[in-house]
Amino acid sequence: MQKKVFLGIDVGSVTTKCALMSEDIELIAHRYIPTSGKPIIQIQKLMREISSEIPSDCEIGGAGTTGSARYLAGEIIGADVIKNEITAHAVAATHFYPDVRTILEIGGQDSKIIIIRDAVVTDFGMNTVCAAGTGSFLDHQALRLGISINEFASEAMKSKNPVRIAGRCTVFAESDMIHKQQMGHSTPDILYGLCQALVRNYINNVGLGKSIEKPIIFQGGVAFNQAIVRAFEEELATEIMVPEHHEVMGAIGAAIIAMENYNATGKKTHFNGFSISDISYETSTFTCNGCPNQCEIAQLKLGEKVLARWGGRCEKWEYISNISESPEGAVVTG
Amino acid sequence: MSCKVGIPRALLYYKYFPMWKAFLEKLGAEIIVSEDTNQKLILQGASLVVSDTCLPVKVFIGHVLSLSDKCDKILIPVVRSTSEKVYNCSRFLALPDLAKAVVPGVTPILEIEFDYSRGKRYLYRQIYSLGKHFTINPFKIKAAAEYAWETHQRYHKITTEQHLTRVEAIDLLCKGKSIEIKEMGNDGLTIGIAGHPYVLHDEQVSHNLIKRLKAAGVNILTPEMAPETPDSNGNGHTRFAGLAKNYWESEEDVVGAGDWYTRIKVDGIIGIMAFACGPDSMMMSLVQRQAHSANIPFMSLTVEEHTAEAGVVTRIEAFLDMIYRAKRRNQQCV
Amino acid sequence: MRITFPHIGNAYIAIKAMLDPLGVDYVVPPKCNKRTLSLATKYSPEGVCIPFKLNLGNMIEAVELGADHIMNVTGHGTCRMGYYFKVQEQILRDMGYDVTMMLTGLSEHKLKGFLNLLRSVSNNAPWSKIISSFAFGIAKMTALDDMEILANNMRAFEIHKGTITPLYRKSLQAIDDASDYHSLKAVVREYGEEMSGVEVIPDYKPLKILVVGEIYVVLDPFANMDVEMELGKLGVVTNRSLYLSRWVKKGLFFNPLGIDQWRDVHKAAMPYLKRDIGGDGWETVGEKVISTGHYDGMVHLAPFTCMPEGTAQCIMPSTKEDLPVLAIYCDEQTSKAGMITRLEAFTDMIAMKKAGCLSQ
Repeated sequence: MQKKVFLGIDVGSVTTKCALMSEDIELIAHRYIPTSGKPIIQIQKLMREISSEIPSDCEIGGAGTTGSARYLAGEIIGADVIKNEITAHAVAATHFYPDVRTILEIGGQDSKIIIIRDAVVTDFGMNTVCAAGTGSFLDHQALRLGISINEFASEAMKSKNPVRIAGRCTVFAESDMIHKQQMGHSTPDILYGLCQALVRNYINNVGLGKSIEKPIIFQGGVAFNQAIVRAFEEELATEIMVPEHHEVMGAIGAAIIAMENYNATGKKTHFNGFSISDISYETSTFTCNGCPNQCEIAQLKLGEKVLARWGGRCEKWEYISNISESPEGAVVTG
Repeated sequence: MSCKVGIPRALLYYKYFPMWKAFLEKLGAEIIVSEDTNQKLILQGASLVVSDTCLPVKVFIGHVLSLSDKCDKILIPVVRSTSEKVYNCSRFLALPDLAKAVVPGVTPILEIEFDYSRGKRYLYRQIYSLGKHFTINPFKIKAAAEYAWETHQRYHKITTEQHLTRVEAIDLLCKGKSIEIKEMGNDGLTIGIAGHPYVLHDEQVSHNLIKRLKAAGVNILTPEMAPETPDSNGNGHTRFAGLAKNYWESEEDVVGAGDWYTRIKVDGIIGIMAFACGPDSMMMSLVQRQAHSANIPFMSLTVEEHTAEAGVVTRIEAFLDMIYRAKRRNQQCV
Repeated sequence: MRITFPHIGNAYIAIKAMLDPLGVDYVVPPKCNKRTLSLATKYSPEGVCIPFKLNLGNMIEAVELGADHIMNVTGHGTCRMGYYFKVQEQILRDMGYDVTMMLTGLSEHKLKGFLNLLRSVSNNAPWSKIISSFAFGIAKMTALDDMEILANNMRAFEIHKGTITPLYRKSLQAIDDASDYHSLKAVVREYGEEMSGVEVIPDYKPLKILVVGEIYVVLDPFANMDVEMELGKLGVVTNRSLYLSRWVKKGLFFNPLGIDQWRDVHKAAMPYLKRDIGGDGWETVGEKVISTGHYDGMVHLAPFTCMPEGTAQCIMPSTKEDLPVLAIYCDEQTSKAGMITRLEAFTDMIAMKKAGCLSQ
């Protein structure tokens, strides 16, 4: 009998991540690429790359998706489980660190805090609309200062007297930063000031009212940035652990959940196979005229077959089996 | 040893401090007022409550926190209504409970509820239950209350008759500081400021708005200087809907003041409001409309914990310049 | 004189039933939609809460349809709601619309005030007619709530996902169409049986979540982005502290008799919040305390910058009763994605807590 491997895909708004796990929950391979606003093409690209990594005596036993585009990704690859990012991150973290009590996660567009006690999620928080506590905040400010995001951390670590920057909102931070620049503060000090602003903002918003206790692990793309790690350690006055594969923890979690699902049900996977990377999917949107809401419905089609529709406020277009094939009374806008 | 009672220098302090001080000192308590508001105190307060809480409450929580180890008890009165069916903003009604819930290790709280709508007997009972903490002699409590009420009226009289701000009047009454009575020059500008006393008189919160205007040689009017309580509800709904004259206890500080300024034709009106203030989000728009229809220049300033001082300064200067230039041009035309 | 009124949930069906027999010329504003929201945002002052904005949007859209008199409620004190009309009227006037607000102070005049309001919009119709049409409106309101309670209960159990919601929507239309008590009763029975009769997952033990918060966002599915439907899709049974028919019956009938209809809830809140802070803040805290043990979790809906609910949110973590609470702010966003992620994570979390381990 062939061994099983499990696939997890995490499609976020900024990056797309993929992890391949063995039956013994060992990471076999992983990928981390930008989403670039084209999730389908990037998923196909990932699938092409990861297919070559599967050991010859193994086959896919299950697949899971997570991230903000989890439903789309799930539809394309034929996922067995579709899970939200919070659960996926918690599952991955407790696998590697069974005694973890707090997970800090900062991604491109959102940030979360997950409180875990006895390997059970007991509380969580997510950033609201504002992006001030996320990776894109740093990207944006680095761009303003003409520093590449790769140099960001090493430059910031040189800081001796960090500047205090208001971090409530990108707009405030930006005007404050420009002001500090004009006052002649050095770039490393400003950069580290930004890191501290992000951390403060994170603790005061996402982490408000949460009891942040050791052991703390920090995951997500922003954990690449050593300066942020240092700022967290200073702010919380404790040690922060960064897992080796912090950037793909969501995907690892999705893979583990797919495996748990397989172990529990023993069902054959729905996985569509790696051939999907060569299929051309068609996405289009149309405006539903069913009510004054005029929702923009996005649909994913393979040839003539509608695979999925989403984006409506109501359930009208959601269940493919319930609806006629062509959207009646709707204007297809391409 | 006398009991040390802490009073947070925030919110109702500006309206009622002389009264509270008179009452408590008559009963033998020692009064400790918290330090002047500072940035650290604001941020500490803000870190304890949810982020969409209004700035004044964040400041208040900061003051309660700063009093923690300085006194035996903290006085947090609840002012529910000051005339028939005119109530205070929701936030004021929960202050003692809020402080208890969010301030770690809070000092025991002394409460008293003022609710005019519940009649005199309720008021007497409340006064007695507060006084009981200091003496068992009801006559002493009664005398203290009478003295306190007298002081409050004197305080009110000073602000209206001598055109003193609340802070100046408190200095005069409670600290015996003499105040230079300023000349109301005819040549200078007269600017009316609409806003809650805890916003416009707190120098840290308002970024020294009053001082800056005075330094620019402007005569300022503040809501407490209004000769009588202005009627802010000039429309005919009152009788029909059974509404009281005002809706909020603080309405006279904003809409009422705006009404007074437009009637006496000041040169300009500045409306200062705190970020996330519920009542002001509506009342300020009425003041703006009043000013607009009376052709009086209006500027609204919204302050929050991260407002940059520089921005406030620029805006005040620009506003004054605008009025000066318009006035000069008008005079030339005449 | 053409009357209109702002929306709150499905109340328009009941209000129509009250106005129809009185021969009132009225227009129902288009149901809240994206245009309502964008009009509202454009003309509302900065920083006001979502009920104000949506109400204003309703009014603008109704005025465009020829309405010139607006029925509205007000009140005294504390929360912004009672002050809405002053600002809304100003805004409409500034936009060049000549409108008259027809108000009743719900908290002062209660039932009598509301009946008086009906009388003045109906050009002084006889009291007997006013009372009978009011009663029929209340009957429809009750029917609406019965349907909603049933739908929110059954949605978690349905085998074929997406069966209950269309049925529920049809039932709303049927209630709206019912012209007398007899047909209303028939509609309630028919849809009641149909919904109870859908194929259900055998032996399913769903999570139970209580939805609490500010009345407008709790009652209005547009403002709360169908939170109860979304929870139902996740296999969760929801119940809530507020249903319009109960609220109206208690508020209008019992309150005037001096009966505190929320006594238990208020008593439960006492150790943490001693007094009414306007809106529904006191009740929210109390609901958390008394629901612990009866529900698996609580979803707390609040308009962004809401004063009473914000206070409740600060106070709730300090209660010793430990019920997981998910706070959802309702504002101008129209995308459900973020909310759904939170709801999923929240239901996962409480399911795990119940099971005591991470894997399900």
